[in-house]
Amino acid sequence: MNVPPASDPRWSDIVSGKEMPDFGFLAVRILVGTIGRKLAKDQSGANLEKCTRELREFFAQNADLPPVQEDLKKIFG
Amino acid sequence: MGQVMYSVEEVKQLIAQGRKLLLAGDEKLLRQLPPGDWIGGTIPYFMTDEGGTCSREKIYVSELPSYVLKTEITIYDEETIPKVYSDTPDHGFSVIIIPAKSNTHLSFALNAPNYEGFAIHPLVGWISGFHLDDLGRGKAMVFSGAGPEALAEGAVVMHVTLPRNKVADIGIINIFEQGEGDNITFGSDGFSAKATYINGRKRNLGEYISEKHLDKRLPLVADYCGAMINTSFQEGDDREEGVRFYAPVFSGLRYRHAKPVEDPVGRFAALMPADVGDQILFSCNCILNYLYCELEGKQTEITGPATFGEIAYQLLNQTMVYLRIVDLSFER
Repeated sequence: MNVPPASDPRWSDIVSGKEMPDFGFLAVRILVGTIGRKLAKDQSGANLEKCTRELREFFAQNADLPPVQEDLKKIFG
Repeated sequence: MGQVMYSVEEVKQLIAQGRKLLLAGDEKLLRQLPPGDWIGGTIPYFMTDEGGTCSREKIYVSELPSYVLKTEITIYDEETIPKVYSDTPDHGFSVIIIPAKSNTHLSFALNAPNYEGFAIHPLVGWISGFHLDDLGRGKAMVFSGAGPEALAEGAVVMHVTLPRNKVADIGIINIFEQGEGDNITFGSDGFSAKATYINGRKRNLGEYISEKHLDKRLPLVADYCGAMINTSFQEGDDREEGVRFYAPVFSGLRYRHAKPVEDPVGRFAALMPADVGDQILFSCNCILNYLYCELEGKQTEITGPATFGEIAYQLLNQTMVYLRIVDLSFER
Protein backbone atom coordinates (compact mmCIF):
# COMPACT_ATOMS: atom_id res chain seq x y z
CA MET A 1 0.00 0.00 0.00
CA ASN A 2 1.33 3.43 -0.93
CA VAL A 3 2.31 5.59 2.02
CA PRO A 4 2.40 9.30 1.11
CA PRO A 5 5.62 11.22 1.83
CA ALA A 6 6.11 13.11 5.09
CA SER A 7 5.63 16.37 3.19
CA ASP A 8 1.94 15.56 2.62
CA PRO A 9 0.08 18.07 4.83
CA ARG A 10 -2.42 15.45 5.96
CA TRP A 11 0.30 13.94 8.17
CA SER A 12 0.86 17.22 9.99
CA ASP A 13 -2.92 17.65 10.37
CA ILE A 14 -2.93 14.43 12.42
CA VAL A 15 0.22 15.25 14.35
CA SER A 16 -0.99 18.74 15.28
CA GLY A 17 -4.40 17.42 16.32
CA LYS A 18 -6.22 19.38 13.61
CA GLU A 19 -7.66 16.08 12.36
CA MET A 20 -8.30 13.19 14.73
CA PRO A 21 -9.78 10.12 13.03
CA ASP A 22 -11.05 7.26 15.16
CA PHE A 23 -7.99 5.04 14.77
CA GLY A 24 -8.42 1.35 15.49
CA PHE A 25 -4.88 -0.03 15.81
CA LEU A 26 -3.51 0.21 19.36
CA ALA A 27 0.01 1.24 18.31
CA VAL A 28 -1.37 4.07 16.18
CA ARG A 29 -3.47 5.35 19.07
CA ILE A 30 -0.56 5.22 21.51
CA LEU A 31 1.85 6.78 19.02
CA VAL A 32 -0.50 9.62 18.09
CA GLY A 33 -1.28 10.21 21.79
CA THR A 34 2.43 10.27 22.62
CA ILE A 35 3.20 12.61 19.74
CA GLY A 36 0.47 14.97 20.96
CA ARG A 37 2.15 15.01 24.38
CA LYS A 38 5.56 15.72 22.84
CA LEU A 39 4.13 18.59 20.80
CA ALA A 40 2.40 20.07 23.82
CA LYS A 41 5.89 20.42 25.35
CA ASP A 42 7.60 21.76 22.24
CA GLN A 43 5.49 23.33 19.53
CA SER A 44 8.40 24.35 17.31
CA GLY A 45 8.32 23.71 13.59
CA ALA A 46 11.33 21.42 13.94
CA ASN A 47 9.52 19.25 16.48
CA LEU A 48 6.37 19.15 14.34
CA GLU A 49 8.50 17.95 11.44
CA LYS A 50 10.23 15.34 13.61
CA CYS A 51 6.92 14.02 14.93
CA THR A 52 5.45 13.93 11.42
CA ARG A 53 8.39 11.82 10.23
CA GLU A 54 7.94 9.52 13.22
CA LEU A 55 4.27 8.90 12.44
CA ARG A 56 4.92 8.43 8.73
CA GLU A 57 7.71 5.96 9.50
CA PHE A 58 5.32 3.87 11.59
CA PHE A 59 2.87 3.55 8.70
CA ALA A 60 5.65 2.86 6.20
CA GLN A 61 7.03 0.02 8.35
CA ASN A 62 3.63 -1.54 8.98
CA ALA A 63 1.87 -0.90 5.68
CA ASP A 64 1.33 -4.62 5.07
CA LEU A 65 -0.87 -5.00 8.17
CA PRO A 66 -4.60 -4.85 7.38
CA PRO A 67 -5.58 -2.81 10.49
CA VAL A 68 -2.82 -0.30 9.73
CA GLN A 69 -4.09 -0.05 6.16
CA GLU A 70 -7.54 0.73 7.57
CA ASP A 71 -6.09 3.53 9.69
CA LEU A 72 -4.12 4.86 6.71
CA LYS A 73 -7.39 5.09 4.78
CA LYS A 74 -8.82 7.18 7.60
CA ILE A 75 -6.08 9.75 6.94
CA PHE A 76 -5.85 9.66 3.18
CA GLY A 77 -9.10 8.09 2.05
CA MET B 1 -6.33 -22.22 26.73
CA GLY B 2 -5.33 -25.67 28.01
CA GLN B 3 -2.74 -26.32 30.66
CA VAL B 4 -0.85 -23.22 31.78
CA MET B 5 0.48 -24.09 35.26
CA TYR B 6 3.34 -26.61 35.35
CA SER B 7 5.59 -28.14 37.97
CA VAL B 8 9.34 -27.50 37.83
CA GLU B 9 9.90 -31.06 36.56
CA GLU B 10 7.38 -30.57 33.75
CA VAL B 11 9.00 -27.26 32.72
CA LYS B 12 12.43 -28.94 32.74
CA GLN B 13 11.06 -31.49 30.28
CA LEU B 14 9.65 -28.76 28.01
CA ILE B 15 13.01 -26.99 28.03
CA ALA B 16 14.82 -30.26 27.26
CA GLN B 17 12.52 -30.72 24.27
CA GLY B 18 13.73 -27.37 22.91
CA ARG B 19 10.43 -25.56 23.43
CA LYS B 20 10.50 -21.76 23.39
CA LEU B 21 8.97 -20.59 26.65
CA LEU B 22 7.84 -17.46 28.46
CA LEU B 23 7.73 -18.24 32.18
CA ALA B 24 6.39 -16.65 35.35
CA GLY B 25 6.84 -18.05 38.82
CA ASP B 26 8.45 -17.93 42.21
CA GLU B 27 12.21 -17.25 42.26
CA LYS B 28 13.07 -20.58 43.90
CA LEU B 29 11.32 -22.45 41.06
CA LEU B 30 12.88 -20.46 38.22
CA ARG B 31 16.35 -20.92 39.75
CA GLN B 32 16.00 -24.70 39.31
CA LEU B 33 15.57 -24.51 35.53
CA PRO B 34 18.31 -25.56 33.10
CA PRO B 35 19.65 -23.48 30.19
CA GLY B 36 17.33 -23.23 27.21
CA ASP B 37 15.22 -21.05 25.00
CA TRP B 38 13.25 -19.34 27.73
CA ILE B 39 12.89 -16.12 29.66
CA GLY B 40 11.09 -15.65 32.95
CA GLY B 41 10.16 -13.32 35.74
CA THR B 42 9.19 -13.66 39.37
CA ILE B 43 5.57 -13.45 40.48
CA PRO B 44 3.35 -15.85 42.47
CA TYR B 45 -0.05 -14.49 41.32
CA PHE B 46 -1.83 -15.84 38.25
CA MET B 47 -5.09 -15.86 36.38
CA THR B 48 -5.73 -19.46 35.34
CA ASP B 49 -8.61 -21.39 33.78
CA GLU B 50 -9.73 -22.16 37.32
CA GLY B 51 -9.60 -18.47 38.29
CA GLY B 52 -7.15 -16.20 40.04
CA THR B 53 -4.67 -18.02 42.25
CA CYS B 54 -1.49 -17.54 44.24
CA SER B 55 1.08 -20.32 43.86
CA ARG B 56 4.71 -20.72 44.87
CA GLU B 57 4.71 -24.32 43.62
CA LYS B 58 3.84 -23.99 39.93
CA ILE B 59 5.19 -22.03 36.97
CA TYR B 60 2.95 -20.27 34.46
CA VAL B 61 4.03 -21.28 30.95
CA SER B 62 3.33 -19.53 27.64
CA GLU B 63 4.82 -21.56 24.81
CA LEU B 64 5.73 -20.01 21.49
CA PRO B 65 4.31 -21.92 18.50
CA SER B 66 6.53 -24.18 16.39
CA TYR B 67 6.17 -21.92 13.33
CA VAL B 68 8.31 -19.25 15.01
CA LEU B 69 11.38 -18.84 12.78
CA LYS B 70 13.90 -17.49 15.26
CA THR B 71 14.27 -16.34 18.83
CA GLU B 72 17.03 -14.27 20.35
CA ILE B 73 17.39 -13.54 24.06
CA THR B 74 18.95 -10.18 24.91
CA ILE B 75 19.71 -8.66 28.29
CA TYR B 76 19.48 -4.90 28.58
CA ASP B 77 20.44 -2.51 31.33
CA GLU B 78 19.63 1.10 32.08
CA GLU B 79 22.15 2.25 29.48
CA THR B 80 21.17 -0.10 26.65
CA ILE B 81 17.38 -0.33 27.09
CA PRO B 82 16.82 2.57 24.63
CA LYS B 83 17.74 0.10 21.85
CA VAL B 84 14.92 -2.30 22.68
CA TYR B 85 12.51 -1.10 19.97
CA SER B 86 15.10 -0.84 17.23
CA ASP B 87 16.34 -4.37 18.08
CA THR B 88 12.86 -5.85 17.53
CA PRO B 89 12.76 -7.94 14.33
CA ASP B 90 11.23 -6.30 11.25
CA HIS B 91 8.70 -9.11 11.12
CA GLY B 92 7.91 -10.35 14.58
CA PHE B 93 7.59 -9.10 18.11
CA SER B 94 9.51 -8.85 21.36
CA VAL B 95 8.61 -9.91 24.89
CA ILE B 96 10.19 -7.93 27.73
CA ILE B 97 10.30 -8.59 31.48
CA ILE B 98 11.73 -5.97 33.85
CA PRO B 99 12.17 -6.30 37.63
CA ALA B 100 9.99 -3.91 39.63
CA LYS B 101 11.78 -0.90 41.10
CA SER B 102 14.98 -1.56 39.14
CA ASN B 103 16.67 1.41 37.50
CA THR B 104 15.78 -0.10 34.13
CA HIS B 105 12.10 -0.18 35.14
CA LEU B 106 12.16 3.47 36.14
CA SER B 107 14.07 4.54 33.05
CA PHE B 108 11.87 2.56 30.66
CA ALA B 109 8.70 3.88 32.30
CA LEU B 110 9.73 7.50 31.94
CA ASN B 111 11.61 7.47 28.67
CA ALA B 112 10.36 4.66 26.41
CA PRO B 113 8.23 6.92 24.19
CA ASN B 114 11.42 8.82 23.34
CA TYR B 115 13.43 5.71 22.41
CA GLU B 116 14.29 5.21 18.75
CA GLY B 117 11.63 3.24 16.91
CA PHE B 118 9.04 3.52 19.71
CA ALA B 119 5.91 1.49 18.88
CA ILE B 120 7.03 0.70 15.32
CA HIS B 121 7.14 -3.02 16.11
CA PRO B 122 5.20 -4.90 18.81
CA LEU B 123 6.73 -4.92 22.29
CA VAL B 124 4.75 -6.68 24.99
CA GLY B 125 5.66 -7.75 28.50
CA TRP B 126 5.43 -7.20 32.19
CA ILE B 127 7.08 -6.00 35.37
CA SER B 128 8.13 -8.85 37.67
CA GLY B 129 7.39 -8.73 41.38
CA PHE B 130 7.08 -10.82 44.51
CA HIS B 131 4.57 -12.11 47.05
CA LEU B 132 2.87 -9.20 48.79
CA ASP B 133 3.68 -10.80 52.15
CA ASP B 134 7.29 -9.94 51.26
CA LEU B 135 6.64 -6.21 50.76
CA GLY B 136 9.68 -4.30 51.97
CA ARG B 137 12.06 -7.25 51.70
CA GLY B 138 11.03 -9.01 48.46
CA LYS B 139 13.20 -8.71 45.38
CA ALA B 140 11.79 -8.87 41.89
CA MET B 141 13.94 -10.86 39.47
CA VAL B 142 14.09 -11.71 35.78
CA PHE B 143 15.73 -14.76 34.22
CA SER B 144 17.40 -15.47 30.92
CA GLY B 145 17.46 -19.12 29.90
CA ALA B 146 20.66 -18.37 28.00
CA GLY B 147 23.01 -19.08 30.86
CA PRO B 148 20.73 -19.31 32.77
CA GLU B 149 21.14 -15.98 34.47
CA ALA B 150 19.12 -14.25 37.18
CA LEU B 151 18.98 -10.48 37.33
CA ALA B 152 17.55 -8.00 39.82
CA GLU B 153 18.67 -5.10 37.66
CA GLY B 154 18.13 -4.88 33.91
CA ALA B 155 15.59 -6.35 31.52
CA VAL B 156 15.37 -9.64 29.67
CA VAL B 157 13.89 -9.64 26.19
CA MET B 158 13.04 -12.42 23.77
CA HIS B 159 13.04 -11.10 20.21
CA VAL B 160 10.86 -13.36 18.05
CA THR B 161 10.84 -13.57 14.26
CA LEU B 162 7.61 -14.75 12.60
CA PRO B 163 6.98 -16.15 9.10
CA ARG B 164 5.67 -13.59 6.59
CA ASN B 165 2.08 -14.88 6.78
CA LYS B 166 1.81 -14.29 10.54
CA VAL B 167 1.67 -10.99 12.38
CA ALA B 168 1.67 -10.10 16.05
CA ASP B 169 -1.10 -7.88 17.36
CA ILE B 170 -1.11 -6.40 20.86
CA GLY B 171 -4.40 -5.60 22.54
CA ILE B 172 -5.38 -4.18 25.90
CA ILE B 173 -8.49 -4.60 28.00
CA ASN B 174 -9.00 -1.66 30.32
CA ILE B 175 -12.08 -1.89 32.49
CA PHE B 176 -11.65 1.74 33.50
CA GLU B 177 -12.71 4.86 31.64
CA GLN B 178 -12.46 8.52 32.38
CA GLY B 179 -14.99 9.84 34.87
CA GLU B 180 -16.93 13.06 34.55
CA GLY B 181 -14.76 14.94 37.07
CA ASP B 182 -12.08 17.57 36.79
CA ASN B 183 -9.29 17.68 34.24
CA ILE B 184 -6.00 16.91 35.97
CA THR B 185 -2.69 17.90 34.36
CA PHE B 186 0.92 17.94 35.50
CA GLY B 187 3.77 20.37 34.98
CA SER B 188 6.44 17.68 34.70
CA ASP B 189 6.89 13.94 34.14
CA GLY B 190 7.45 11.66 37.11
CA PHE B 191 6.45 8.85 39.45
CA SER B 192 5.25 11.36 42.03
CA ALA B 193 3.63 14.76 42.06
CA LYS B 194 3.01 17.30 44.77
CA ALA B 195 1.58 20.03 42.59
CA THR B 196 -1.01 19.55 39.91
CA TYR B 197 -3.35 21.64 37.81
CA ILE B 198 -7.05 21.07 38.36
CA ASN B 199 -8.94 22.50 35.39
CA GLY B 200 -5.88 24.67 34.85
CA ARG B 201 -5.61 25.93 38.46
CA LYS B 202 -2.53 24.96 40.48
CA ARG B 203 -3.31 22.80 43.51
CA ASN B 204 -1.64 20.46 45.98
CA LEU B 205 -2.64 17.05 44.60
CA GLY B 206 -2.73 15.35 48.01
CA GLU B 207 -5.07 18.02 49.36
CA TYR B 208 -7.25 17.73 46.27
CA ILE B 209 -7.52 13.94 46.65
CA SER B 210 -8.43 14.31 50.31
CA GLU B 211 -10.93 17.10 49.68
CA LYS B 212 -12.67 15.17 46.88
CA HIS B 213 -12.46 11.83 48.74
CA LEU B 214 -11.04 10.23 45.59
CA ASP B 215 -10.85 6.43 45.77
CA LYS B 216 -7.16 5.73 45.11
CA ARG B 217 -7.97 2.18 44.00
CA LEU B 218 -9.28 3.81 40.83
CA PRO B 219 -6.54 5.08 38.49
CA LEU B 220 -6.05 8.34 36.67
CA VAL B 221 -7.00 7.76 33.04
CA ALA B 222 -5.50 9.56 30.04
CA ASP B 223 -7.01 9.43 26.58
CA TYR B 224 -4.34 8.50 24.01
CA CYS B 225 -6.33 9.11 20.87
CA GLY B 226 -9.01 6.68 21.99
CA ALA B 227 -6.77 4.28 23.95
CA MET B 228 -7.44 4.72 27.66
CA ILE B 229 -4.13 4.56 29.54
CA ASN B 230 -4.14 4.27 33.35
CA THR B 231 -1.76 5.55 35.98
CA SER B 232 -2.32 3.93 39.38
CA PHE B 233 -1.90 5.53 42.79
CA GLN B 234 0.47 4.17 45.41
CA GLU B 235 -0.38 4.41 49.09
CA GLY B 236 1.43 7.05 51.15
CA ASP B 237 1.27 10.41 52.83
CA ASP B 238 0.05 12.40 49.84
CA ARG B 239 0.22 15.86 51.36
CA GLU B 240 3.73 15.77 52.77
CA GLU B 241 5.62 13.49 50.38
CA GLY B 242 3.60 14.12 47.24
CA VAL B 243 1.33 11.60 45.58
CA ARG B 244 3.20 8.56 44.35
CA PHE B 245 2.23 6.49 41.30
CA TYR B 246 3.06 3.02 39.94
CA ALA B 247 3.80 4.53 36.50
CA PRO B 248 4.80 8.05 35.59
CA VAL B 249 2.37 10.84 34.97
CA PHE B 250 3.32 12.95 31.97
CA SER B 251 3.01 16.64 31.31
CA GLY B 252 1.04 17.44 28.18
CA LEU B 253 -1.64 14.83 28.93
CA ARG B 254 -5.07 15.47 30.38
CA TYR B 255 -6.09 12.95 33.03
CA ARG B 256 -9.36 12.27 34.79
CA HIS B 257 -10.07 10.06 37.76
CA ALA B 258 -11.67 6.80 36.63
CA LYS B 259 -15.35 5.96 36.99
CA PRO B 260 -16.09 3.22 39.52
CA VAL B 261 -16.66 -0.23 37.98
CA GLU B 262 -19.67 -2.07 39.39
CA ASP B 263 -18.93 -5.56 38.08
CA PRO B 264 -15.22 -5.88 37.16
CA VAL B 265 -15.38 -9.55 36.13
CA GLY B 266 -18.40 -8.88 33.93
CA ARG B 267 -16.64 -5.86 32.46
CA PHE B 268 -13.57 -7.93 31.53
CA ALA B 269 -15.87 -10.43 29.80
CA ALA B 270 -17.80 -7.68 27.99
CA LEU B 271 -14.61 -6.05 26.67
CA MET B 272 -13.00 -9.31 25.56
CA PRO B 273 -12.80 -9.23 21.75
CA ALA B 274 -14.74 -12.00 20.06
CA ASP B 275 -12.94 -14.98 18.55
CA VAL B 276 -9.44 -14.14 19.70
CA GLY B 277 -9.14 -16.76 22.44
CA ASP B 278 -7.32 -19.34 20.31
CA GLN B 279 -4.96 -16.73 18.87
CA ILE B 280 -3.65 -15.45 22.20
CA LEU B 281 -0.04 -16.33 22.77
CA PHE B 282 0.71 -14.35 25.89
CA SER B 283 -1.25 -12.25 28.32
CA CYS B 284 -0.95 -10.65 31.74
CA ASN B 285 -3.15 -8.68 34.06
CA CYS B 286 -2.32 -6.22 36.79
CA ILE B 287 -1.84 -7.24 40.42
CA LEU B 288 -4.00 -4.21 41.34
CA ASN B 289 -6.87 -5.61 39.28
CA TYR B 290 -6.26 -8.98 40.99
CA LEU B 291 -6.48 -7.31 44.40
CA TYR B 292 -9.01 -4.51 44.00
CA CYS B 293 -11.36 -6.51 41.74
CA GLU B 294 -10.95 -9.52 44.05
CA LEU B 295 -10.09 -11.84 41.16
CA GLU B 296 -8.82 -14.69 43.37
CA GLY B 297 -10.98 -17.68 42.46
CA LYS B 298 -12.68 -15.78 39.64
CA GLN B 299 -12.25 -16.38 35.90
CA THR B 300 -11.54 -13.68 33.32
CA GLU B 301 -11.28 -15.83 30.14
CA ILE B 302 -7.71 -14.68 29.44
CA THR B 303 -5.08 -16.26 31.69
CA GLY B 304 -1.60 -15.11 32.64
CA PRO B 305 0.53 -13.73 35.46
CA ALA B 306 -0.86 -10.91 37.63
CA THR B 307 1.97 -8.44 37.42
CA PHE B 308 3.50 -5.31 38.93
CA GLY B 309 3.05 -3.49 35.63
CA GLU B 310 2.07 -4.37 32.09
CA ILE B 311 3.79 -3.41 28.86
CA ALA B 312 1.99 -2.85 25.59
CA TYR B 313 4.51 -0.74 23.69
CA GLN B 314 4.88 1.30 26.90
CA LEU B 315 4.34 0.75 30.62
CA LEU B 316 0.68 0.48 31.67
CA ASN B 317 -1.13 0.07 34.98
CA GLN B 318 -4.33 -1.74 35.98
CA THR B 319 -4.71 -3.13 32.48
CA MET B 320 -4.97 -6.59 30.92
CA VAL B 321 -2.57 -6.96 28.00
CA TYR B 322 -2.54 -9.71 25.39
CA LEU B 323 -0.50 -10.66 22.37
CA ARG B 324 -2.20 -12.61 19.60
CA ILE B 325 -0.86 -13.99 16.37
CA VAL B 326 -2.95 -13.36 13.30
CA ASP B 327 -2.66 -15.51 10.20
CA LEU B 328 -2.75 -13.09 7.27
CA SER B 329 -3.73 -15.82 4.84
CA PHE B 330 -7.08 -16.03 6.67
CA GLU B 331 -7.45 -12.29 7.22
CA ARG B 332 -7.08 -11.27 3.60
